[in-house]
Formats: sequence, structure tokens, C-alpha cells
Amino acid sequence: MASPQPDYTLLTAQIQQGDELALEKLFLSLKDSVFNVAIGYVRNTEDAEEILQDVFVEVFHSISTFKGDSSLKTWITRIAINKSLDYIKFKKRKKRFAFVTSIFSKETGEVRIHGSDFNHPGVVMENKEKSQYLFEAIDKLPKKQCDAFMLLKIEQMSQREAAEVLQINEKALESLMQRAKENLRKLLSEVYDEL
Amino acid sequence: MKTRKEIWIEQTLQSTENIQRIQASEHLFTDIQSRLRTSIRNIEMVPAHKVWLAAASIALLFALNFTTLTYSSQQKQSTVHTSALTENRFDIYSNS
Repeated sequence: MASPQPDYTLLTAQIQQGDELALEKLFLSLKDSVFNVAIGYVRNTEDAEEILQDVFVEVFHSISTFKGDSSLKTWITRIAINKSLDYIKFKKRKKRFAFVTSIFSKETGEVRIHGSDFNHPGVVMENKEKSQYLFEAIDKLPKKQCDAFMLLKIEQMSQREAAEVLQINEKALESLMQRAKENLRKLLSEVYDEL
Repeated sequence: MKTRKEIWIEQTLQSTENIQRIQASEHLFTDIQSRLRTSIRNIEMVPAHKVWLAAASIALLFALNFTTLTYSSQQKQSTVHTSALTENRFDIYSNS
């Protein structure tokens, strides 16, 4: 049975006072949501755990900047997306550096950004192979379309929640989703031709 | 009728439908707590005299920059003034 949702206003006030117990309650309430957002972006369980920790450390330090314009969950989801994207950028830089150093040293190991062989642990067994192709295609989408698809289809947020996270209206979100699906169809068509 | 390709694309697009939410370990909060303590300790670990030293260095740098700028602008003004005086006194650019 799902535990009742805590009083986020109270928790926010308590965390602002430096209450770690309140932070723990918030963590227990939102950990799965943040973890699923992160894993959708970084495609690696260990990296997603790292991001989950980063997010809650950031929440603790910068909760005073939370104005309450959106819900606390929305604010934390935005932090999770930004942290995930920063992490991907960091890994890309690391990969470029590894490539440069590998010219001089053969011993340098390869750094993976997104494993093309990544199997999302939440995908049902019979869809594993197809979901790999889908995730590869999602990576090639423009950022906003990627965010919209990830929040609605992978994170399974409601239209209202996803629109709030992306700071756009629901109509704009629908249009983004439409374009994302069209682009994914084109990309998957190319994949099918190569199979 | 849909082609095999179209069916494959639709199935692939729907492959993440009913995706199960993954649960994050509760124990990760212990790591968060230790990271919070480390970051607080790091902030506390900067000795006060070092903070004052950094502030004094910045203030000195500003003062030096300000003095240099004021001095150089005064020098420029006095050069312009001197050359104007010279021109007037000796009327060096007149045709007569």
C-alpha cells in the first residue's frame, strides 16, 4: 500500500531550518520519482543513484530559493532533469578527453555515455530489444521533444505535471509530443531499414 | 493495411508502455547525509584568517587599480594642458 503523501509545505519549512529528518521524509516520498527521471536520461543505475544523491544534497542547500510558484515535486523534478543533463555533458567531456589521451596512451579505458545495449530495468522482457532501439532514437531528438517524451512516456507523468515541469502550457506539450513521435517514426524507419 | 515495417515501428514506439517504476534504495539517504556533513565540514574548515587574507588581497587589488587609473588620467590631463600652453605661448601653428 502506498504511504500517504507528506505535507510538503511543512517539510519545506522544516528543511529550510536545516532539519535532516524532514529531508529524509522528503527523500522517501520522492526518491523513486527522481530515480526514474534520472535513469531515463543517463541509462545507468549507478549514475542514476549518484544523481539522486546530488539532487537531494542540492535540495537541502537551495530549498531557501524555492518560491512555491510550482509544486515541490515539480521543482525537484526540474533539478533532477538539469542534474541528469549536466551529468551527460560531463560524461561527454570525459569521453572527448579519453579520446584525446587515448591517442597518447593505449591503456585509457573507454567511457560510456549511454550504453546502446542499455536495458531499462522497468521494461517488460518481451519489449527489451525494441526499447533499446527506442532509447537510441530518443537520444537523437531535439532537447525539448526528448524531455516531453521522457516525462510523458517513460516517467509516465500526467500532461499537467509534465507541462508544469517543462514550464509550458498543455497545448504546447501536445504539439511537442506530436513532433517527437513524428521524428521517432522517421528515426525508427531508418533503423528498420538497416536491420 | 499496415506493412511489417509500420507494425514494427508502432510496436517499438509502444515498447515502453506499462514500464515499471524502479525503486531506489532507502539506504542511499545515508550517503546523502554523509555528503551533507562533508560539505558542511568543508565550509567550516576554511579558517577565518584565510578569509580575511583573501578579502584584504581583493581590497588591496582594487585600491591599486583605482590609484593607477586616477594617476594615469591625471597624467593625461596635465600632458594635454602643457601642450595647449606651448601651442598658445609660441603660436607654433600660426601661418604668420
